[in-house]
Amino acid sequence: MDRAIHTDVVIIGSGASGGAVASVLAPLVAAGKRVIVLEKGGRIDPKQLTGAELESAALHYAFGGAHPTEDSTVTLAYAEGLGGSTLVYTGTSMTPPERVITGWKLPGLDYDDLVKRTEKYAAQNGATFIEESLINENNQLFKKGCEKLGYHARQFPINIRGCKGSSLCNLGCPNGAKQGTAQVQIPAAMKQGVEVVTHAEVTALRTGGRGGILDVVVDGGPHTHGSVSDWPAGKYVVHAHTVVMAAGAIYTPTLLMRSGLVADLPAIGRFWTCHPAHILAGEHDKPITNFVGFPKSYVWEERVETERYVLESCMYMPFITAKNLTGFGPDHERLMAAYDRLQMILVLACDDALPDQRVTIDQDGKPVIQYKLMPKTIEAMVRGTRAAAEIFFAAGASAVHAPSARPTLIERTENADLNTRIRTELFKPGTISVSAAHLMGGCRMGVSKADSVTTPLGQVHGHDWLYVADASLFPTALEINPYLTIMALADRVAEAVADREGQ
Amino acid sequence: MSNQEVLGPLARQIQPVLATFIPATARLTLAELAPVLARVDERLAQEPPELQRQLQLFVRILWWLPLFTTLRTMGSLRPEQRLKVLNWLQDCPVTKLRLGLWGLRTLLFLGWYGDPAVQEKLGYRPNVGGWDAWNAAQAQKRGQ
Ligand SMILES: Cc1cc2nc3c(=O)[nH]c(=O)nc-3n(C[C@H](O)[C@H](O)[C@H](O)COP(=O)(O)OP(=O)(O)OC[C@H]3O[C@@H](n4cnc5c(N)ncnc54)[C@H](O)[C@@H]3O)c2cc1C
Ligand code: SF4
Repeated sequence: MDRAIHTDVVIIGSGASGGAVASVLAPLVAAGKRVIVLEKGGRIDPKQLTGAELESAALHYAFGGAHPTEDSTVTLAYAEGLGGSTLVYTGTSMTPPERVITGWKLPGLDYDDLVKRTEKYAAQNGATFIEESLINENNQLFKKGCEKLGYHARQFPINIRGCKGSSLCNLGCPNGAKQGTAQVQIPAAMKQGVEVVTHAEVTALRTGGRGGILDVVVDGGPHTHGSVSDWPAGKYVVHAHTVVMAAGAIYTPTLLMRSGLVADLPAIGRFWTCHPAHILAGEHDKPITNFVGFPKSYVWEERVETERYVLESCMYMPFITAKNLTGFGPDHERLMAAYDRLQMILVLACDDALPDQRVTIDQDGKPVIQYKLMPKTIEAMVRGTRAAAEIFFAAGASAVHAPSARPTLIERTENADLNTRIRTELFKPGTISVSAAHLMGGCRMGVSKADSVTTPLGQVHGHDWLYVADASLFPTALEINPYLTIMALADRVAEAVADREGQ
Repeated sequence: MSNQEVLGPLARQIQPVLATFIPATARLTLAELAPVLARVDERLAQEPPELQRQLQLFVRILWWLPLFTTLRTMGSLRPEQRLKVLNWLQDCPVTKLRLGLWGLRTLLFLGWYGDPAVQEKLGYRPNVGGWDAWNAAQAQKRGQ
């Protein structure tokens, strides 16, 4: 028989949003309330991480880091484990753009208040500017290229404590230096009595009793690294007065759809968006420091409003690099052989949140992401590619790999022909690797049931026991790395939940 | 379908494709190819059987595809002819074919570039010790 658990609050997921909510609600425990976090993944001990690319990716990521969209033209990266995607994020800590937040036109959502909340989490996570002497040449070249062209590349803070510069952030920090919810908010919440249960997957939820009822499966393993669940393996039914969804922009809409709420709330899963991205590589004549040092330090965002793209310095491991470079054969191999001479730039496009871009479910209740690269988005990526190529050459690169060029390798002598070499019609979905790690929307905040799922405070319309706190709340793409904004929004939601529990 | 059985049994058909994607693998024997395909099959073990079967079918299609234009299989084409066929496929108007090629290419890259020994040959030598380890290695190099 399924075991029954009764609690006041249950939080589904322990990533950026779940961690923030757990930390805000932790004081409720002293007031006699029970707060439980259910996390599908396991605990990952940084000391056991080796930095081996395939092994670490398999340990952290769902689908090895490449969850395909329905038409397979974009792959999505997110992690599953205590800490969620904060286990593998780079830790780029950005304040949300005022233009985007005010553009959401959400009653009660004040920009200055949101920024204050991002500052709170930035401080908790030790967000800081890395010392210039520790910035590797891959990043310095980005800045140099931008400066030569008169562009302003901005250094961004990153959330680290005791970083050694091993550059392995996206494979989980083996030094426990990168600060995510598994390092900061979850341990703080646990100290105050919040119960955290790993390997606990919520499979369904419904209205019942004094709030919601969840079906939960606790997986007994065996699990990699010997991680065990905090509850014995088996099936559970959790009765909660308040349920907070923090399962991320894919699984929160998925669970809500499985719950049958979709008939009542037609916007569930819709207006789903991301920052589709691809990497470009510039080849230099001499080796540069690229796989040592913090992987990312600069962003160039001066064209985000007009041209809808952002460029960031970046560095990826060999397999991910090989995958992301378009094509194969001698040109591809030549570039891979030049790995220690490669500079990399990430092009991130900002696309529109549209009703037909959505998460839905198949007959087994599994998520299907119906997301297409729109012509406007492709054009933005191509414009971003041209700008990145200019930056590489200005930084001294001898050749540039551009996915939307044929041949993909552009020699320095062709620098003046970037507009003809890099063209929209050469950007063929299905040929070019496009991936996204900033997943947003699907349960957007708003005022009406017709085009939103929750109130501006994350309460699901018409269901006072049910809240959403994660990235699925975003009404549109944020146009900048989102984790601090996700935590800030989750902070507001958690306050609303605390009010409800205090009543 | 067990994870050993997706691409492993098709090694002979995959060999010329892999050699076109990554010319350095042209010299590999079938036995040397086995660990590369085993890495791919380990990844594929998580995929639904239907996708595994589609991939096998795609490999077989690739083998026979050049027959229409050259009366030869992929295995009997010269390297530059294979490159031409696969380049055409990469940019062909049929999205499904492009995607199939992209998927196979990506998996074979995983099998090859995911190998720590290959990564080291590329010059990728990450170290948990970061800058300290890097500086120590540089000092050692200078001392030699
Ligand atoms: C490689 C990578 C690099 C990134 N770098 C940055 C960066 O530098 N800066 C930045 O701002 N952002 C970055 N991001 C994005 C950022 O990490 C995410 O936007 C953020 O973590 C999303 O928060 P979330 O709470 O919505 O979801 P997540 O953090 O993904 O957490 C969701 C959690 O819910 C759990 N879960 C899902 N379903 C269930 C279920 N049914 N039952 C129980 N648990 C469940 C999952 O296992 C997961 O732990 C990066 C992301 C990736 C993948
Ligand atoms: S660069 Fe710093 S934060 Fe990133 S993995 Fe290495 S030690 Fe950790």
